[in-house]
Amino acid sequence: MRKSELSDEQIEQLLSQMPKIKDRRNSREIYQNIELKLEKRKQRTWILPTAAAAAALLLFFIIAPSLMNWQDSADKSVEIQADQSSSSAEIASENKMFEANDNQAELGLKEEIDENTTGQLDEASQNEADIKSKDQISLRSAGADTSATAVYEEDLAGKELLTYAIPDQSAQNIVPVSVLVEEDSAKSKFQLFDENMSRLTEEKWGLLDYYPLKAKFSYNQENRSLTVDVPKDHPYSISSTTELQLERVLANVMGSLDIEKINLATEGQKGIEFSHFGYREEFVPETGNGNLIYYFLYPKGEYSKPFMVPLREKLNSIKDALRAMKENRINDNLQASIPEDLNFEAEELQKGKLMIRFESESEIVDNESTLHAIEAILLTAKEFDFNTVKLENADVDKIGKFDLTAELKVPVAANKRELPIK
Amino acid sequence: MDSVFDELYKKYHHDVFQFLFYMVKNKELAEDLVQEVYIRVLKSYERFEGKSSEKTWLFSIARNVAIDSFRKQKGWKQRILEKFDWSTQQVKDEFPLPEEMAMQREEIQLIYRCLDLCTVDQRLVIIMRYIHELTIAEAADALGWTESKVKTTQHRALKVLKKHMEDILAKEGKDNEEVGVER
Repeated sequence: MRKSELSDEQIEQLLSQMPKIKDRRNSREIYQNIELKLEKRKQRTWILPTAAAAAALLLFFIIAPSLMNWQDSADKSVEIQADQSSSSAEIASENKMFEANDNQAELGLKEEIDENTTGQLDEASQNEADIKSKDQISLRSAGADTSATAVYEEDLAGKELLTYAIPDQSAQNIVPVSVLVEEDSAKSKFQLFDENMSRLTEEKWGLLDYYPLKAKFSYNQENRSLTVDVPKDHPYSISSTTELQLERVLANVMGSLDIEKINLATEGQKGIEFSHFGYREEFVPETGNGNLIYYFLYPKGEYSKPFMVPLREKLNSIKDALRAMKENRINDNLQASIPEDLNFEAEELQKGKLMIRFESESEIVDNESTLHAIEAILLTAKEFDFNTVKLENADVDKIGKFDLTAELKVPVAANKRELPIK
Repeated sequence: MDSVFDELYKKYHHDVFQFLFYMVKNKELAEDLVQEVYIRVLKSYERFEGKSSEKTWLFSIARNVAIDSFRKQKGWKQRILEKFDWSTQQVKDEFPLPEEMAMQREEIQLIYRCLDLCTVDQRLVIIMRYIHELTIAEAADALGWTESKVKTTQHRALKVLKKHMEDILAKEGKDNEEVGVER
């Protein structure tokens, strides 16, 4: 037996005698193995994203057809209706917000007094409409003349028509509001216009308090020119919006009073210094291209009487116009004036005569919303130089004040509103 | 074939393979690990700055690969141990003695077994210094240690080996004596 004493040297020696261990594979074999692994690692970097992309694509192809089918199905109309009403509600609620912001208390008070003293039909129907739900409205026959919003020839007997351009509360649109006042042989139309300016109840109507204008008007009958004289601290050059507003309002005044030229003045001195448009001595209205087409503005919520607001659009024909009127104008805060499901063919019968034939699946009901849609069509037809419109193939003979068996005359002016009694 | 691989294979393949084998004591595993060494080397060959010799650089990579393999092994070993606590003994003798070793003298086989009883660091030093005959400086370079650390580790490793060798030899001697008496 060996001694159990081992020296370091002995151990070192033993260790150095350890056998050589050899790899039995050759270099080619090893290289193939590592090449495989190297490639595998490289592959890994793109395998996962590619697999994910492929899976996403596959999922897309699986889901896309079913989504399309679903949209094409019978639900479509329901969906669109829902869509429409939701955007309508949006606009309506937005309007209500403006209203709410604007000294609510005062408004409420005013409304109360007006109701008691004037008891105007217009106001009453508006309140009624506010309370009633939409469904109830559609069931109710429009019946009375009061639901019509425009001014018609027969309204003019013994009256003078005055049209004021009033900005809405969001200062986005200019609403032409027409009032009828007693004719006075001693006064010119301009005088009546000037006098009645202060009687407008813009806020009650849900519009911006704009009149009377902070300016003196003087009218020269001979050359049909109007001088607008503003005080030094006039509020019309606060922003480009107010300047533009004034411009649009004056343009409207020119149109309705048949004025050829407007001279601008500041406290008797020629010209007005505008902060954005600069110094101007006279006002030349921009003659816009295209036609006016009418949309609805609901300043008091969806169930109230709408204002018909004209927008200038470049359109080739009345057909294009009527198609455009089916679309909400969210940016302008305006709503479609023709319901999406109201389908019809428009045809010019002869000069000044328009025929509208409803498609048989379109349901024409004698209710307020149909009435307003017809008014919008009439007003737009007027802008395309039609005198009469004949509605055909409707389910009913009468809608509101309109007798559908006869040709309908286009209105004289839009948005009839009553002035409070003096 | 890759020229870098070819060159490295010719120069160092057997050294690297043998080093790995003595570290893990399993030919199959050493074969896998040597491939892993090549993969790491080929990936980072451009970064080889020549600060150290190619040889020590390869050894340092092989050492990292071996240590990584121990970590992995430990992981699944421990998992198994948790379930089969009684199998501890079996796991130790899991790797068969390679042919080359089986043909050696008893003392060599004994010292081979005793390598298991050293720590990983000690084993690294022993294999590098005595089986591969690296100098102290080369070993220090490959391990990233100071030379004095190599020396002390080497010293302790020899001590451990000696102690266990003596213990086992003494025990075996006793056994032999007992057998002899019985005879």
